[in-house]
Amino acid sequence: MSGQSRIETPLGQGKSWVTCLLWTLPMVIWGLLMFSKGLFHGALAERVATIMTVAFLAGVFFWMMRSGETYRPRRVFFVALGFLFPFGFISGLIAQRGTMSISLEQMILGNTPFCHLALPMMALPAVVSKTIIFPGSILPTPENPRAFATMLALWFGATLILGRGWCSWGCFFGGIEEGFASLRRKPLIYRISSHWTLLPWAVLILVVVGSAIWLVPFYCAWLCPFKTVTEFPALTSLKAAVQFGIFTTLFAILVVVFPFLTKKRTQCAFFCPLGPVQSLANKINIFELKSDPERCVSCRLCEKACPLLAIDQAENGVRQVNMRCSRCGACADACPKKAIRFRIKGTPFTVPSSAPRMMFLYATWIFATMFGGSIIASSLGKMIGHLF
Amino acid sequence: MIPYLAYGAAILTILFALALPIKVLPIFVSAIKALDLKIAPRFSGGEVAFVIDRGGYQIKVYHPVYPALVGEGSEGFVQLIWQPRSALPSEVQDALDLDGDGNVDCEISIFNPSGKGATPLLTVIPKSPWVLPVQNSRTTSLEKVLIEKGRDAIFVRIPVRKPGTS
Repeated sequence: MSGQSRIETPLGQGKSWVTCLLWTLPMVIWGLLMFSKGLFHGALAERVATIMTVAFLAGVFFWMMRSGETYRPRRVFFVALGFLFPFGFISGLIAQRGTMSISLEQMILGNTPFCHLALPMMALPAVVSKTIIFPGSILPTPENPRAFATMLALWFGATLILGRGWCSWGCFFGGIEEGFASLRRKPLIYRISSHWTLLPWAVLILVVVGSAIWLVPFYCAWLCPFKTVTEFPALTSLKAAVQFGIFTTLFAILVVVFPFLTKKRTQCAFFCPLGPVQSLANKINIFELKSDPERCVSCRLCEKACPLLAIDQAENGVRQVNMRCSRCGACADACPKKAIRFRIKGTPFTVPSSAPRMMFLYATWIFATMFGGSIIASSLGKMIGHLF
Repeated sequence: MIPYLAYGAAILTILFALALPIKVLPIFVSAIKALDLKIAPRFSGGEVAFVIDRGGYQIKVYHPVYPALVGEGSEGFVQLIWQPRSALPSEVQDALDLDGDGNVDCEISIFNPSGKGATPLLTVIPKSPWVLPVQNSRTTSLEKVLIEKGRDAIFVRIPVRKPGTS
């Protein structure tokens, strides 16, 4: 066996219902702990939403345990997160301000919720002048709980736990795209040059430099497609109207049309400035997806399945996972030879892959329950409150 | 040896994830607070220098802001907030000392129509060389001249040039 990879059974396959339920139980307890406030002290709509969320999260985790699949169960969670987030966010804005647009008064008062996509643009001015170039607040306030410090702390924690896994397990915006990418069974556009994957680096450099020059969060002001489903400056000037036109167009193209045609997450893969930062974070994260060159038969199914074009061809023709990987598990699930597997860095391929996958899923799901789960519960609560 | 360390790191990652909402997030937020970062004055308007009481309403006068990545730029603004808006007459005339030196720096007139969608207009007549003129402006932008009708306040940003620059 030495020097050769060992054939092992992925967790779930061959495992009994009881075993899988036992594996799921800690996550149910964690979910109940996380949402105990809503469960025991909330209004009826909040309690119902909390129970639904805990059951949903437990169901998805059990599915991952039982089937040995990662991608499809995660996608269900991620798309639900992606589509529920705007609902909760927008209904919160309407209740607070009566509109999705943010006025200059609210910006001056620091009431703009901070977004993780703005983080790379904050770095340079923060270091040079100790200022944050964003019309929000540094610390959470009753008017603005999504303050800079909260989002930075959350992002930092998530990055240590997940690396670029944040993009497939935490970032609600990615869920919207993945929803549209999932609509077709097969893509209409197959060939996408891997050169496009350099574009996010160019966007990152552009927005970091642009933000430092003009002292505005350049991406947020001009390019972010997700303002279409969150908030945008009030249309009180020609400039605001142009900005509105740009981000709605980018949303239509990068988040709806291209994902639908290509089955790839085109905004995440080719445009998001946080993506390259998260890719670098993969280097310090302990978990990874890795291809075993002895098992790879170069069938390219992993390449087709990967939504972020994170599979490269090595010199000998075998496929390798590159640093853009968001640990969604699509390649591992698609591989007929189980050549691509969840690994813990520094362990040999002779170690069975079920344990690393299990550890990755526990770490990830603990975070996903805390972050994504709370968004789902809150949005569901608002939805149920509106309906009944 | 390395695999054991790797597994140890993976277990630590799980423990870290568990501790994140309970212990780690508050520590992170406190650490960020300790960095003493501030929202760029370009957005917040900076800090209040003094408040002028006009009986029925108040005017908050902010310190001049000259936005730049490093140091200060040559042009900037002084933010003023009139509140409560409900107490303001339809036309406001004020002679203001912006830097607190006892001399009037500008005369400001605000046309403050009461209609819901009505836009206020701003005129600034400089009395000091560092204040720049504004004529009947309704520009609503953070970058240049600003006059914004808030819920119960009027926000104004008067363009100024840093003293000593041409």
